[in-house]
Amino acid sequence: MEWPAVLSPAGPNAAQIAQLFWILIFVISLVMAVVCVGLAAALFGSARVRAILTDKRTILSAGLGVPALILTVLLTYSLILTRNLSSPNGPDFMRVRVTGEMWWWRIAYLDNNGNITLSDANELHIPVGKTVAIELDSADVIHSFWVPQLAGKEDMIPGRRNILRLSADKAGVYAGQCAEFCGGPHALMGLTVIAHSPEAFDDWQRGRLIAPIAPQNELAIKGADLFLKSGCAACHIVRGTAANGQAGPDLTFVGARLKLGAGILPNNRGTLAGWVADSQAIKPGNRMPSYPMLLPAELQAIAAYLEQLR
Amino acid sequence: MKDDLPLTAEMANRFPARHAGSKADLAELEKIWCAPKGWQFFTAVSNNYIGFYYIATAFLFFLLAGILALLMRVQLAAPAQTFLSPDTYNQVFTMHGTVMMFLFAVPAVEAVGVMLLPQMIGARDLPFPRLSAYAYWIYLFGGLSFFASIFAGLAPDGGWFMYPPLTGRIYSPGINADFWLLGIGFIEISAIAGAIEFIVGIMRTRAPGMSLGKMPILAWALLVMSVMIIIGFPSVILATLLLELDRAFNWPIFDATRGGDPLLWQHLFWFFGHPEVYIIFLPGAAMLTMLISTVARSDVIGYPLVVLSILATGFISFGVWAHHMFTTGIPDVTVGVFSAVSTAVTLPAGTMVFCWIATLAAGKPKFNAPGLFAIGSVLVFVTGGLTGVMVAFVPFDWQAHDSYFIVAHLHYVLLGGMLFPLFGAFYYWAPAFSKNALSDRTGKWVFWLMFAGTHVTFMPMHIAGLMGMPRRVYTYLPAQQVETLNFISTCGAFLIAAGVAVFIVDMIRNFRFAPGGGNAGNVYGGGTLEWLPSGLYSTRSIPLVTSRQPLWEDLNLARNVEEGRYFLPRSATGLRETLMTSPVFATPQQLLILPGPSVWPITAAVFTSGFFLLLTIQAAVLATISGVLAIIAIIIWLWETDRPVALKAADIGGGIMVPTHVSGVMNHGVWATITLLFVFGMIFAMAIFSLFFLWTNQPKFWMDPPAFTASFWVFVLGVASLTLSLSAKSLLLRMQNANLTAGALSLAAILAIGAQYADYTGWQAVGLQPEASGQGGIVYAIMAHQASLLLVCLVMAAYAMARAFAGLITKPASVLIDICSLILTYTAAQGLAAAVLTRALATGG
Amino acid sequence: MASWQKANGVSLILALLLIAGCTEVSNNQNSADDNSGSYSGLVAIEALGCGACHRIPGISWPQSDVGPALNHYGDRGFIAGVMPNTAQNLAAFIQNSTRYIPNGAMPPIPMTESQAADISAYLLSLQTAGS
Repeated sequence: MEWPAVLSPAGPNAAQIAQLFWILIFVISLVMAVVCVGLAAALFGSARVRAILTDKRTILSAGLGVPALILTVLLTYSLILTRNLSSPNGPDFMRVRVTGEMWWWRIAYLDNNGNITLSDANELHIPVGKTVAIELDSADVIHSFWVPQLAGKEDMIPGRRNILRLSADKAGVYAGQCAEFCGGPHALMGLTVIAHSPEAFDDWQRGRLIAPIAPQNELAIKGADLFLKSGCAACHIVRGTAANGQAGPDLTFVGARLKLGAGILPNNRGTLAGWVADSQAIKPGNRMPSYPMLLPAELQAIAAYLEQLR
Repeated sequence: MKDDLPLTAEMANRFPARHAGSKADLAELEKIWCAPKGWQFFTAVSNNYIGFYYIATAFLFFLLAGILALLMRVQLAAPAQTFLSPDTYNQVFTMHGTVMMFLFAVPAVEAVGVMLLPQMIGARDLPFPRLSAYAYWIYLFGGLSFFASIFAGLAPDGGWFMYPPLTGRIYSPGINADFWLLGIGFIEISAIAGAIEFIVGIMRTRAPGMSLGKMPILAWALLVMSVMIIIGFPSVILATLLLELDRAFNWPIFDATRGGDPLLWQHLFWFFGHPEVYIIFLPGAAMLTMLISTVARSDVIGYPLVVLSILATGFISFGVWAHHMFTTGIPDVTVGVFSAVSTAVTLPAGTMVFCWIATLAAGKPKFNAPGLFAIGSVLVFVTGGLTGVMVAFVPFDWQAHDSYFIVAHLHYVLLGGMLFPLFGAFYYWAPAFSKNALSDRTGKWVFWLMFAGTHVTFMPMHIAGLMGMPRRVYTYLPAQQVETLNFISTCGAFLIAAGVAVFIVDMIRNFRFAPGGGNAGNVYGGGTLEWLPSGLYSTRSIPLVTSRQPLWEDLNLARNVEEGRYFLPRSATGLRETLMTSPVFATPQQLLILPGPSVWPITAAVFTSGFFLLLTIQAAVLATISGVLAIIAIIIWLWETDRPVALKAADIGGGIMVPTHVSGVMNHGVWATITLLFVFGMIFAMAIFSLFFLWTNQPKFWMDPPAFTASFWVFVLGVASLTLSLSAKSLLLRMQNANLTAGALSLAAILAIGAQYADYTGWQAVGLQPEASGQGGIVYAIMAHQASLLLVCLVMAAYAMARAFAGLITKPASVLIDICSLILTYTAAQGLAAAVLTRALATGG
Repeated sequence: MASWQKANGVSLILALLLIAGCTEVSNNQNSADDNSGSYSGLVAIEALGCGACHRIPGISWPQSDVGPALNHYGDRGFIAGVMPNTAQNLAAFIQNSTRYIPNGAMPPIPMTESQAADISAYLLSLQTAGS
C-alpha cells in the first residue's frame, strides 16, 4: 500500500494542506492522550489526583481554556492558509475549464480571453510549475473535482462557476475522482491529471493543436467510415472529420489517453473494442449504449480507427 | 400563585404529610389509569405504553438500517463486486442514512423522552398524551411504509441529503425521490409534536420544588433538543415542500437555468441538518451524564457547566451549517466565520467531557455494563470530536470533505455521542420497565463487541479517505488499493452486528415488559425520581423535590411517596390528572386534567399517513379523501378532549387548593399553540430567506412585483382581518356572547382569504407564473403556505362556531377562543408580511 | 477455493456472504503465494483490460460478455477451434488473433512477450481439477 494520496502531495496546494494535516494530527493526538490519561486517573488514580480532577478550575482550564487557546492559534493559521490557497497567485497562470457531466469530464483549454483553444475529455494535461486556474462548471447535476495529490476538492454546481487554482511541482500522472454523489455510476467517474515538464507540455500542446492525421491503413479507413455510419458521430466529435457530436467526450485524440471510460479502464485496441461493444457491462448506467449489433469485423475496424486517433 | 416564586417554607413543611393516603384512593388511581384491555390496546395513550412502543419501533428501524449497512459493507468488502447493483446500492446507502437519522436516531431520543421524562420529573404523564399517541402511530405507519419502498426498488436514491438537481424532476423522474420528500413528512410531524410535548411538559409539569436548577440533565437536554427541533425542522419542512413543488409542478426553485439555485437547497437542508446532529447528540450526552453520575454514585460535578454547555451547543449549532458547504465556493469571509464557529462548538463539548471525568473521579465508578458503555462513549465520542475539529479547518476539509474520512468522523461522533449512551441507557433503565434486569454480564459482552467493532470498522476509513476514496461509491477498483482497508472495515461491521445480536438475545431472555409495577426496580442505584416505586399512574403521590438526586438525599422518600404522603395522592376529579407547576420554581399552579385512551389519535394517524402515501403514488383524489378523514378524526378527538369540569378547584394535598382550569397565557394549550406558531413562523422566515437568496443570486431572472399602490385590497383586508382576530378575546369578555365571537373569528378568516386572493390576482396581473422562474416558484410557494394556513383557520373557525352553537364555549374567557384568535392573528400577520416582503424585492434593488 | 468464490452470488446468509467476501479477497493473494507466474499473468490481464470483453477468474472488474468467458480455459482442447491449446500457441494468439481467425472480433493487442507468456500461463492454469 502506498502512502495516502492526500499525504503524498505533488503540488504546493496539496503540500500546504498535508502540512496542516500533520500539525492537526499531532495536536489532536496530544488532546486524545490528555483525555485518556484524565479518564484513567479518574478511574484508577489516587485520592489526591482525583481531587484535582474534580476541581472546577481543572474542568474549566482543560475543557475550555486550553482548547480555546489552541484552537485560536490553529484557526488563525488555517484562515491565513485558506486565503492563500484560494486567492490568485500572480498574473502568470493557465486557464482551463472542466465541466462535470454525468459521468465524465469535458475539458477545454482557454486562452487569456477565455476562448477555447483546445477541447478534450477526461484527461487534463498541465505544465509543471505553472498555476492552473481551473474553471469548474456543471452540465447537469453537482459534481466535485478532486485530485488529492494536487489540491483539495471544489464542487461543480449548475449555474455557478468555481475556480480551483493548483499547480504540480513534479511531472507525473495523478488520479482524481468525482467526489460529489452524482447518481448512477458516480463511483466510476475517474479523472487523470498529467503533469509534464514545461518543454514536454509545449510539445504536447503543439501536437494537439493540429488535427490528427487521417487514417492510413485499410482497416482504420474502414473504421472511420463505420464510425460515421454507426451513429458514433451523433454524440462524439473527432476534429477534422464529419463527426461533430457534442453530447459525449471529444474523441479527437482518444487513442492517446492513458485511460478509457473516464479514468478507469486501460486504453488499447482491445479495451476500445470491448468498450464500444458493451460499455454498459464495464460502467453500468453510463450514457453510452452498448453496440452488440456490430459485426466482428466492424468492431475490429472501429477499434483500429479509434486507437490511431493520437 | 401567579408569580413564579418558590414554595413557601410553611407549605413545604406540610410534606411528607402525617396521614398516609387511603387504600380506596389507590384503587381509584389504578382504575383511572388502567390500560385498555384486549384488542383495544392500540387506543392506549399513556406514556408507559406509547414510550415503550416508540422505543421498540425505533430499535426495529435501527436493526433494519443496520442490515442495510451490512449489505453495503459486503458489497465493499472487495473491489468491483456485483453483490449489489449500482442502483440498488444507491438506494441502500440513501436509506441507511435516512432511516438511521430520521427513523432511528431522532425518534429514539424522543422515545427515551416519552418513556422516561414524565416519571423523571414527577409527572403522571406528558401534558398531551393523545398527541404523543398520534405522533407515535404516524411514525410507525409512515416509517414502515417508507421503508417498504426499498423492497419494491422504489426507495429514494439521491442520498439522505437529497441535493438537487440530481433529485429534481429531470434527473430523478421516478417516484423514489417523492418517497423521501413525503416520507420524511411523517417524521417532521411527529418530531414537532414531540417537541411541543416536551417543551410544555418540562416547563410546566415538573414535581413541586424541582426548580430549573434541580432538573435532571436529561430534562435539560430534551428541552434544548425540543427548542432546536422547532427552530431546525421548519427549514427542512420548507425545503422538502419546495423540492416537491419543483418535482410535481415544475416550479424551478432549485433550477439554475431558470432563476432558481441548487445551493439554496443546501442552505435550507444544512440549517436543519447540522443542528439535527446535536438534536441527537444532546440527549445522548445527557443520558451519558446520568449514567456516569449513577455509576460513580456522585452528583454531576459541574452541573451548571454541563447545563451551560448543553445550552451553548444548542445555540452554536445553528451557526455551523455552512461547514457542510466549504467546497461549494462560498465566499472566503463566510467560510472563515463558519470555520471559526465550527471550532467553537468543541468548547462546550470539551467542558462536558471534563465534567464527566470529574464526576467519575468524584465517586467510586463501577465497571458494570452501563459504566462500560459510559466510559466507552466518552472515548469514541472524543475521537470523533477531534477529527471533527480537523475538518472544521477549511483547507483540510477541502481534502476530507465527501471522502471516507468524513464517514469515519461522523460515525465516531454519532456512535459515541448517541448509540453507546443509548445502549448504556438500555441496560441502566431496563429494570424500570421490565420484570427482570438485563444481564450485566451479557451487557459487557455487548459492549466489548460493539466497542471493538466500532474501531475496526471506522478507524481504517480515515485512511481510505486520505487515500482518495470518496463517499457514496457503490464500488472501487483494484487500482485504488483500498481493498485491504475496506475488508477490515467490513469485518468490523460484523463485529458490531454481533454485539447487537448478543444484545437482542439478552432482551429476549430477560426483558419482560411490566408497565403496571412489578418491575426489577433500582438495580443500579439511581437517585432520580424515575426510580420511585410506580404503577401505571406513575408514583402514588408526587414528591416535593429538594435536591438533584432526591432518592440519595432522602432515604425515606420512596416510602413516603408510596404511602401517598405527598402531592396528589388521589384523583380529585375522577379523571387522569397531573400537577401543573410554574416554569422556574415549579410551584403548583393548576390541576391538569389529562385525556385517557381514545381511538381517534390512531385513526387520525392512519389517515394522515394515508394522505402522504397516496400523494406519493400520485393518487390525488384518494389522498384528498384520506386528508379530509384525518381532519375529521382530529376534530372529533378535539371535541372529546375539550370538556369543562364541574369542580373549579381541587385540594392537591396538604390543604393546597389549585384551580382545575386556567385560561390565558398560563394555559398549557396556549403554550402549545404558541410553540406551534413559532414553527410556522420559522417556516415563513426560511421561505423569506429563500426569496432573498434567489433575489441576490439570480437577479437577471427577477421581474418587478405588483406596485404597493396596486395592492390596496391586500392590505385593507389583511389589516381588517388582523384587527378582528386580535379583538376576539376582548369581544368575548365584554359581550359575553360566544356566537358573536365565533362569528367574528369566521369573518376574520374570510377577510384573510380575501386578502390572499387579492395578493394572488396582483401577481397574476403583473404576469408572474410559478413555472416561469425561481422568483415565480418561491412567491407562489409562499402563497401556497399561506393558503394552507388559511385552510387551518377556516377549519378552526368552523369548529369554534360549532362549539358556540353547542353552548360549549366558556365565558368570560375561553381557551378555544384564545387559541383560535392566536392562530388567526398569526395568519393574518403572516399574510401581510408576505405581501410586503415579496413586493419589496424589486429589480432596482 | 473457486467453488467458494462462485458461491458469492448465491450466499443468502450474511455471515456466509462475509466468508465469500473473504475468499474473494484472499484469492488474489493466494495466487500470489502459490504461483508467481500466474500472479504476473493476472497483473498483465488487469493492465491490459482483457476483462473489457471476457469474464476471467480472478478479475473482478471489468467483466463483460463481448467475448467468451475464460474459466477452465486450461481444460480446452483448442484455441478458438483453430489450433491446439498450448502455452506457445496461446501466447501468440492473444497478441494477434486476427492472424488465426481473420474475421474475428478480437483485435490485435499490443503487449510484451513476457506479458503474453504470463497471461498464457495463467489461463492454462485455470483447470477444473485442482482449482
